[in-house]
Amino acid sequence: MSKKDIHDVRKPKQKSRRHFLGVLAGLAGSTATLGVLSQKDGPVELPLHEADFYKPHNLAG
Amino acid sequence: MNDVVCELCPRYCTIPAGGAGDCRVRVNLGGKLRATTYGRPSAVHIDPMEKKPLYHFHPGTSILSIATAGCNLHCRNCQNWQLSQRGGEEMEHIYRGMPDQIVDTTLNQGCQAIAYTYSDPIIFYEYVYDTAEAAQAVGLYNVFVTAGYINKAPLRKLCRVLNATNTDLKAFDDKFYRDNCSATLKPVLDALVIFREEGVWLEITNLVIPTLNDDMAMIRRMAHWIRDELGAGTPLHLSRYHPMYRMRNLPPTPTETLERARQEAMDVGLHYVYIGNLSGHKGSSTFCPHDGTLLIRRTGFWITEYHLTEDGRCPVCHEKIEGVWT
Repeated sequence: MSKKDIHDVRKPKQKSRRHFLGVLAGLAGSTATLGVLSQKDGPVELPLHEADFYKPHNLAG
Repeated sequence: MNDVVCELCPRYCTIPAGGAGDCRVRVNLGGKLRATTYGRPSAVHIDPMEKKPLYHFHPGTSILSIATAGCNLHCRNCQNWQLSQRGGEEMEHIYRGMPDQIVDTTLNQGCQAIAYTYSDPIIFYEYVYDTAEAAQAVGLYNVFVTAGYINKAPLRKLCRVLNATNTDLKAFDDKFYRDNCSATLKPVLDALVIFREEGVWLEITNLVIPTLNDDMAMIRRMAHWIRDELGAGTPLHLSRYHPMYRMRNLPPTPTETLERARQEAMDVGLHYVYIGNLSGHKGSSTFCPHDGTLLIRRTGFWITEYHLTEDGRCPVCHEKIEGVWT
């Protein structure tokens, strides 16, 4: 096989890898953006009566 | 220029405008000191009184227990670090509970008392004071579970609205406090004396940690000090350590160590020395210091036998047992 042939054979593979990496990066970026957008700004505030007073817990004291 | 100094605890934090003290929750807003967690507890539970632990204060009753984020100590073995080593805004949830709402909830749930606990309630002092004052007005009891690292003046004021405390005496060693809690021993000893002087029912917890504070000579010195400064009738809880937070390298306290420490403290003359965090152990029950009669048997946080008379005496020899029983 000549050098040209080898080049020709590899080319589509490189293109495919780049495409795959591009899609992966895009997915990661979208996930991160969604994560940031959906993050709550500080703690969730609840009325006192919504506390589960008898829920088992492992706090000392 | 707009710095404020928080005089609540011995740290005397100088807080710049917009900043927070060492506890994370006491802040400088526009040149004024504010407690950001006022009316914003992150933990609200109903516990047995024995869990605080208080063994000689209204035994067998339930107590509404509240805490906010933050703490003025940073113990490497903190069991409640997810609550105590965070600021209010770092919590997952916060309840809206102003003092009157806490009192109403306590009454509605059929509890007789409110505990300020879990983190160190010193750092939500104003919230404790206002809630305790409102609770006192309707006949509820107030329990303060603390490490006692507080200045004298605010503590004396707070004692007016408190009925009982369980205060940690983490070790009878200043170096231990400095190395493991970023605090010092002397203010804690002062706080214990103030509780006694002000008539607040006092029980002490000492968490026994292998190799760090399990030296029997230190246990004896601590017991001597408690006997001489606070009285032989002051209950002492020697609790078992479990690996936690930033101190996971040490093993749980062996039962024999706790038993030996209990014996040392009783040999010094303390009347009520308990073993804690070891369910079902004989050392978690109360015996008459005069004739050894079993008075209260406990399994975990639960009372399984109760033989005290209505006025808090041994049924056999009629020895008065120190405590607040009714």
